[in-house]
Amino acid sequence: MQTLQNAVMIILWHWKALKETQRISDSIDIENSPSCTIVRIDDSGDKDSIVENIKKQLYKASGNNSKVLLLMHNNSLDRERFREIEQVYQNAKIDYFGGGKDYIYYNPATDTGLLNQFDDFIQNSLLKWIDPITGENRRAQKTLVIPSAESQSGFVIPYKYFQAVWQYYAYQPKRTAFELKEKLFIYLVGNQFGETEKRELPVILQQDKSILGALLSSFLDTSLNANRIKEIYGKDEIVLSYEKLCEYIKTTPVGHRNYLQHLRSYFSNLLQLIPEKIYG
Amino acid sequence: MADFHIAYWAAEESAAGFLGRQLQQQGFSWRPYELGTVLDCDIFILLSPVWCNNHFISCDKTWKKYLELNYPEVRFISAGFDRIAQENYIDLLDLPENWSTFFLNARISRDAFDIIDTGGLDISNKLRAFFEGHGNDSILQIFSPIYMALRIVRDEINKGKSTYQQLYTDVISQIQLTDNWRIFLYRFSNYYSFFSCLPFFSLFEMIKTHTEIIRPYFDEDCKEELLFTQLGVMEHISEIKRYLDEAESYVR
Repeated sequence: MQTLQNAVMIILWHWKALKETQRISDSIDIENSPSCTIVRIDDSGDKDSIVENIKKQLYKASGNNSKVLLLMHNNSLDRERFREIEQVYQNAKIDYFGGGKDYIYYNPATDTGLLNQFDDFIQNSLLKWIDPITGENRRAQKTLVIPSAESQSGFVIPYKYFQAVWQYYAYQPKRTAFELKEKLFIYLVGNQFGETEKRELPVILQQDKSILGALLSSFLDTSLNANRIKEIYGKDEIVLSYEKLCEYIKTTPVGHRNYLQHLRSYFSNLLQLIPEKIYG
Repeated sequence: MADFHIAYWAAEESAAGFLGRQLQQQGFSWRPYELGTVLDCDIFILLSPVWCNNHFISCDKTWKKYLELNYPEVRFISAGFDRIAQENYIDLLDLPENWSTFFLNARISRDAFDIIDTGGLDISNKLRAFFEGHGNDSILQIFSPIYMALRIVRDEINKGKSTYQQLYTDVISQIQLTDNWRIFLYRFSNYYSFFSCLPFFSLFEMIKTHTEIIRPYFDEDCKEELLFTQLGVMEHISEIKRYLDEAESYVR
């Protein structure tokens, strides 16, 4: 699996550690990944200064040719300032979180996420959850950060957790699958391919040279996406469902009997297994 | 065969074209509905979800509410690619065998019935956030003080008791009218494109037109009495309020 290079994740939040040290931002290293960083930005105080600080960090990251993911807490700024940042920095992937339910919050059932609900990374947290497989009540102590004397912050974040959060927000699996499904069905129903059609969907779309073809091609990149899904959700059944869908699309002629119904079943199965909302 | 007149609305013509061909073959009249015009039909079909503003949007609840208030006898039907069996939903991959029976069994808009979730972004939630009295996205929270302040200014000038300059100091600058107007426009523009899939989108288009007419007044930081009177700022603000109130009636 290809590891992330030059990836900067900027998180705007009411960070406890920044408040305690009265700093407006700092950088956290990622274990064994010197080109990856989490930049923490404090969201307290003057809003214009916060925006300036975000811009400064975005400018710095783009100057290093880094890929940037900016995650901002819903309540950190007003809508107008969020839009201002979105409009100026269109190269950065920007998303929002809040309420303790987004993917960025640590979820013990899937062992994914980074944050607790108390303004910090998961550290010495007593967690209680229901095991999704056995249904049993579980509890455990969890610390995500790893002490590191070499790091300026005194600790590093394990790459696995950084990578999963990055993949989730960069890829948005459920929304991607849902939108592709709708667009494919609009195309297929509109074109009414008959039973004599022996070409598979990727072949037809490639010959059409349509934007939909590019979307489908990206979706069908199983070597990349199966790993992403595994990293994000840690569940083989979602990977398997995704791979079955891709296999069906790649190998089944569009004129095959009940093609549309089967295609729908594969998509439905995948969408049902992916836990988050389509539009967060 | 029952003689139904069918109107539809779809952001993408291809799926609608497919459905239309099936219905026309059965002898039904089938034509697109143009937003903001009178809806003259027995059956209204919404192809859902709708691709709008880079999202698939489920606006079925809001369309149903609109028909319930304006065309209560029209049968409102959603059509999409979900495998759902319901009397007011058409599964485009499994069409009804007898269309006349299907349409006769469909509920009319004034009836209470469950609206199918077609999986897209639920626009009724966005509308609620837009109209609720508080919160970062609320349009009313920011518009109400603008409306109140300008009404005071207009009334006081009409009474001849205060000069515009006095009112600028005592009212307009006190509530930071220019800043609030800027926030109002920001919030409005954030939602505007999402609302283009709604049957009452023309109300938002009218609001946009009124905001553009009175823009010079706010560009001058509300300092010019001449612009206030010549542009008829309060009349336009009242119209905006009227359109917002009408749009809100489809949210309650």
